[in-house]
Amino acid sequence: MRAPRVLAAVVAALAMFGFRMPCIAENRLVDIIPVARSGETNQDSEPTIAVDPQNPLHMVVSAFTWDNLAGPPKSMLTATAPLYISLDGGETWTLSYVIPSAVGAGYPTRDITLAFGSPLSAKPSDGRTWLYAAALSSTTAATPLVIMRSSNVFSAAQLTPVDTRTGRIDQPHTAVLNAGGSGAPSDRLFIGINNGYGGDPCPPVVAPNGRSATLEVTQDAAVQTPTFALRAIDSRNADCQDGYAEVPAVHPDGTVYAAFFHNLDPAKLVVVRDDAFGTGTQPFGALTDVSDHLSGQVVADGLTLPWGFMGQNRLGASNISIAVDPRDSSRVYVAWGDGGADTETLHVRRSTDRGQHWSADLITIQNALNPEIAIARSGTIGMLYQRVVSARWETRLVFTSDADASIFDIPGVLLANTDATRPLIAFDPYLGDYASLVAIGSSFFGVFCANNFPDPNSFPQPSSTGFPKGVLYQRYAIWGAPNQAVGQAPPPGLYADADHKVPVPSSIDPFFFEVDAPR
Amino acid sequence: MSRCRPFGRLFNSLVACGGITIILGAMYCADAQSQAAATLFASQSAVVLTGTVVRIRASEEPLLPANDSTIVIKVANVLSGRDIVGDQSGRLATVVLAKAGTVKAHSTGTFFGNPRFVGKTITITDVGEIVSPPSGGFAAATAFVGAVSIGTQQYHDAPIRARLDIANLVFTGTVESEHALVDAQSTARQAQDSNPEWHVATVRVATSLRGSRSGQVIFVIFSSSRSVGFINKPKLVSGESALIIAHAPSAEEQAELQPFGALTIQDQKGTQQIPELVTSPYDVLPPDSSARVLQLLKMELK
Repeated sequence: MRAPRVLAAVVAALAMFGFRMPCIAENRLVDIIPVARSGETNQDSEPTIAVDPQNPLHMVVSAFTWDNLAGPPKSMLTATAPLYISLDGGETWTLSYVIPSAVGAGYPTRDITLAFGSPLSAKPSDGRTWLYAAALSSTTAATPLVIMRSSNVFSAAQLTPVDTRTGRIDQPHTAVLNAGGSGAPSDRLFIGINNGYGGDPCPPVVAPNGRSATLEVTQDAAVQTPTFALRAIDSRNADCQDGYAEVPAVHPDGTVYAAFFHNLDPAKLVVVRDDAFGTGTQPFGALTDVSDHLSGQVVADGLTLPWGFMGQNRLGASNISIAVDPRDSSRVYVAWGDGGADTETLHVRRSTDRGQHWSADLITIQNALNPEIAIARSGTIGMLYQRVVSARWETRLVFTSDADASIFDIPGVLLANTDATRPLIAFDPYLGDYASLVAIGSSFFGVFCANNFPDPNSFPQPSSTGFPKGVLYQRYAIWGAPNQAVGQAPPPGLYADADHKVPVPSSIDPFFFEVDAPR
Repeated sequence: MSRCRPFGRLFNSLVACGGITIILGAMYCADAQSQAAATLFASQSAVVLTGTVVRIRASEEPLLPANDSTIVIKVANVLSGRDIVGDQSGRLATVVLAKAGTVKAHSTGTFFGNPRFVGKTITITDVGEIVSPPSGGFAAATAFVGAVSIGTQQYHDAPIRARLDIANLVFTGTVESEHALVDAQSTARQAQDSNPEWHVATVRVATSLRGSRSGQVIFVIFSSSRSVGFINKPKLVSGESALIIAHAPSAEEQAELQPFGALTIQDQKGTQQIPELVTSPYDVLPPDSSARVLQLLKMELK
């Protein structure tokens, strides 16, 4: 599909945009829109990924993907919204219509996040694993939080709701821990939600004392009827509400962290902790601030949260990521974005004493958003981020390069470098309030959104970048620079058909990647 | 949903038609039966394909193992759902039959279903299928396609009918003005994507279909947010003419509107009016939809 004559230009462009060879092998980068959906123009933003720890070849991605090819202004035309599914480690993807939605709904779901849990059966040959999803559902006008699960997302069955919560709920973040063991409780599920975000204008305050940071917790999501408990995790009164993102991170030894923005203006970044999976008499009260002695350690104070737009993406109180070291639950990393009007700056800090004391910034990245942190089995930290550089969206994956995991190899592996001015935004968010990164063993798996125009200058190409196959497109495309049309027929771009007779406008697509941690 | 196969069940068709014994009558009856089935199936289907069965007990989709219910067809035409699956003409598709084992290889038919997978090929799960083409040549084929169209229209009318079920007012009118319910500056700083960004439009009724009178001024509240959860909710623009299907605020919506003091709005004569809401993509339609909506209202009365 790629014109040989562009190779020279590709090499020059790669050098110009700074693609480099990381010390990794068999990395892959894939536009996950399936070939049979080549005609789609939807803005498939805000992606998340779940990788089955029992079989990392199995993975699922969610995004704001309508059932139809165009998205807005078309509403939903069927009663199910799709997930992207791969059985081959992300090489190929299929849309599977398994999320309950509604014919005539204005959107497939709002925010949705995913996590795999435990195997259904002790038999390794069974191959089925619980998948959990938390979504703001379109099935009723109230847009309730619906927690769903599937015993086999790769089968034909729709996900089944196991809990529904109405009210002013926003941005569910899902984390699950498979405790495993015969007869032991399993699939401890933690879903961070902004529960009772403020009225508009605020006051009136909806959550008691504006403390909207909340976790939905169950100690076994795999039983027939899971019981969920609501845990308010902010011990301080907020003017109106807490930030939009409440993000949990779970360790097998029982340690559960959660990070959130207390208040909106000014804000504090707060981390809470529980040492027994959130089962104690004072859930998530294990960490007391060294200054005000209230529950939850303040990591950063006096924050101005970003607002406005950057690279067409609406900014907000959404960018938080937290990860706990699988080897040592005392080591925890947090990333967040603050800033001001039309700008956002990312920060990464670390605690080595269970969240009590925090480092200064290990990284500071300006004009960037969607920080996503994960920690490999080896202790290597990976962080995905997206930043605007000269009106282009750069998506990068950066790793720690030292034994102490405190020095990041900035600016990191370049995954995409795409026009930030095109296509024009269809709805907010343009790329998403978050992207997604998980670590399984020594591999980092992630998903992000970008302009899908098949421009070789925008993506790693084979051989020279650590991605042996370059970027893989399943959808029909002819590669070339956007202005390369003169004298070439058909011109570079996307097409609905294999014969390249029906051109398709560029849009925002989800891109999957797998990158091995540097050794 | 049972599968309709009139030509494979000629005898049953004859019985069902009250014992008509002449062949012509039987064929007419069978066609009528398949047309009725086509309308019924299409009214429940987002995708309608015609095609030839290439393989039975087969699947082109790796996520769907072949079984007695799965067949592979070569698509001849996409009668409905092109905006979902694109133009699949000439391509293979997997069909999960409504009833297993009732379709033979090399037969042709119409497959009514909903999308299940879209990967290298598409897969639909059938609501029903009608195998064998209608007899009677062009006229019968045209009638059959017409029957599918009626069902497809019913499928697309369903969300409008659901809105009419709860509508307080149905009218065509022109938006005279609109403004935010709150100063935009006060919310711009943290524009949460769950914030509807309520606006209110002043709409003058041109033609009332339910609950209002011509010339009346109605206050209509709508969401102006461009966030994913609101982008498809109707946006009213000054000068715009539209058919409006408005409802009175529910208890939950009243709670939403109360902070804005928008439970009642004072009109130019100083009278307090209870505003109406438009919140579904189908609450505001082009003004030329009025004939169709009127028809749906009449059907509702029946």
